[in-house]
Amino acid sequence: MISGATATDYVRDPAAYRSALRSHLADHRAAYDRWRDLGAMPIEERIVLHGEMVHQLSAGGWNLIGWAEPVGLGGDIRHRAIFYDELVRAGLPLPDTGLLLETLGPVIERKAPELAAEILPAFVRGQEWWGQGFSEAEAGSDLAGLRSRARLEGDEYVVSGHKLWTSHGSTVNRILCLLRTGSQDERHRGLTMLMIDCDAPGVSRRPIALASGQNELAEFFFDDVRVPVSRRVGVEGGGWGVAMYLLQFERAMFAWECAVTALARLQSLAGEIRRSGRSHDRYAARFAEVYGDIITVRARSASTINRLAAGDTVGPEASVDKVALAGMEIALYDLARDVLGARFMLADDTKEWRDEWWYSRSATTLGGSSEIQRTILADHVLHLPKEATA
Amino acid sequence: MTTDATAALLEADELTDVRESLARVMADPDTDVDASLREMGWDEVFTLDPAATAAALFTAQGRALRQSNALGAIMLAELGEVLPTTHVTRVLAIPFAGGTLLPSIPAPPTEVVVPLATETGVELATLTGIDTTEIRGFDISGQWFQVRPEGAAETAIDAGPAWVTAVARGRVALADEILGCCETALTVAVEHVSARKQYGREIGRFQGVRHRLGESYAALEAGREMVTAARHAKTPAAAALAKFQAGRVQSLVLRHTMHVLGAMGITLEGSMHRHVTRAAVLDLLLGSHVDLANEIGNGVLASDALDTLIDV
Repeated sequence: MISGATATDYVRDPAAYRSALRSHLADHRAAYDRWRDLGAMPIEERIVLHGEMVHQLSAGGWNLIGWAEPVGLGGDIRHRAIFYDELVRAGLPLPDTGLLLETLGPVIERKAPELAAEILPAFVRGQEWWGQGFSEAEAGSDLAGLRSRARLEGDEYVVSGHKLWTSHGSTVNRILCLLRTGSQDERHRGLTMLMIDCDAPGVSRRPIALASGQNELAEFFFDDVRVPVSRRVGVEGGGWGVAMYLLQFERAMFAWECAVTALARLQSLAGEIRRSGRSHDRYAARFAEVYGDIITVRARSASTINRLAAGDTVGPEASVDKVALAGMEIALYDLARDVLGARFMLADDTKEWRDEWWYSRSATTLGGSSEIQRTILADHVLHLPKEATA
Repeated sequence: MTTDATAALLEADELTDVRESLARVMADPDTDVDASLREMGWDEVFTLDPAATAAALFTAQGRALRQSNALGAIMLAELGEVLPTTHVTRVLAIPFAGGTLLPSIPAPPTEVVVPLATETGVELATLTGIDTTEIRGFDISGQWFQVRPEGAAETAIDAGPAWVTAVARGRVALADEILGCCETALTVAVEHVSARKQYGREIGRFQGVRHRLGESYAALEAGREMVTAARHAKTPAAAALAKFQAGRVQSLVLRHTMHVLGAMGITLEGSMHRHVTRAAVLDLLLGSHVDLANEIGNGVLASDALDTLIDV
């Protein structure tokens, strides 16, 4: 375990943290071998394995740097960006649990510190993970139209309704839900954010398989679920603001994590071509484009991460990050599909690429569609005249 | 001029002053940019903070669609150890895949340094007196001179590794200039769609038009971040990637900005063609995005450990 004095050094000097973590992963290579080259497996099994890897790293204190006390040992979002970078550099997977951790963790830390002290340490240590319950059948891009309700009774909310498209939904332990506490006409003003335990009475779920067969998503049903007021994140009626705060982290760190994984996958695809002995020439330009897309997402999200670490907030400009991220994902996995050709369609050993290709199709819709991002930029950055509405 | 790494760096407000001075230099289309830069003491300003002031200069030059020999000057600053000292105005002919181009011919006495590709690297030939042909191709609103390098090879000296550094600096500068050129094109497009009415409303209210410009902005700003990162990374690989990305950005942005102007986007009396053609020539210099795609792509395909280039 990293000592208090060493932790203080790492908190002050992210570069020292990077080189210590790099040495640790090199010196103890065999201790992490079971997480290398996992290949295709059901996501429910993979996320459990990833949780175990995160837990082993936290026993040494490595991923506790980057989280403020009492959750971790101090440090900030830059340390976490380094953590993910170094894991993948050492040939380890970027943990599935880390994706939602980076969107939900900072939000409850900021908006519900007592709740964060209680439940976030287990998420950081890979012992549990959470999902996001925002979308509904009739509220996708138009999120402010959502209808699932929470009604305050004494010191508990009573929640009823239906949430859709929750990533990692088949295994999450808790779900952060955006719920209507006001009237339907209030739109985004009548919403409240609650953290709901998935084993609470009245919660049921159904996994949703993508066309790959992987249960990447799930839907949740809430039937008079009782949620203590202490599980509220932000104030009543302030749920929209919490969701908007959350999106900054999704644009920054989630994008960084995706770029880290994407670079490793591009490397792997280059290896496929080399092993096949085929000519490079016909693919060179597309490899360059995808590499350029990935490094651009790194550059853009690094800059956003540094702004968040300095305490700045990120406004509508964050839509630039999202557009770049979606373009990168689509381009990478389309390249993989084209390069692998018949093997992509037919071979057993390319299942991981197929799974990823299907999941990558969500890049232009999840977390705000590409159309929404372009509209945000047109409205709030370019200040074009408002769109004609019916 | 030197690019001493220990040089004092400019504060934010000093840099703002530099940007304002440069905007003034670029504003008057009848002045000679090289002469105005000399007047403002550019060489000294550049020495104080080479990376940041170069970014300011080439962004301003790109925005205003002006031309100068400043690109050659910042590259020559990296070649100070290689070339003998001179007492006359020295300019660098900027290489592209089919030769070299000069954006401006200085008043004599002058010498032109012409880079010549060899099997092992690049040699620099110095020519006194300039034999050039004015090019009237795609960029008809600009001026470009092709240098005839006859007899140059006899005077050539090996540029060594300094050439790689010079090209890296030049590529970042060109990327800044290309993005500056795209930025004003986007401003022209935004103004046009906010004023031009069809079906009784501004065309900027139609989603198809809005999304083209939203996408252009996203590409431009992401590209700018890549160039900024390359400036800090100070590696040839990052500079090549930044130039490559800027070349891709101009292709996307100018396609959209030209389109939303309708027929005005392709007329001589409109201004959009000037952005389109200038960005195209700038893309060509020091390796076009098409050529860089092959170079970078083959590097990616051959690599066992891809360079992450950018860290937090």
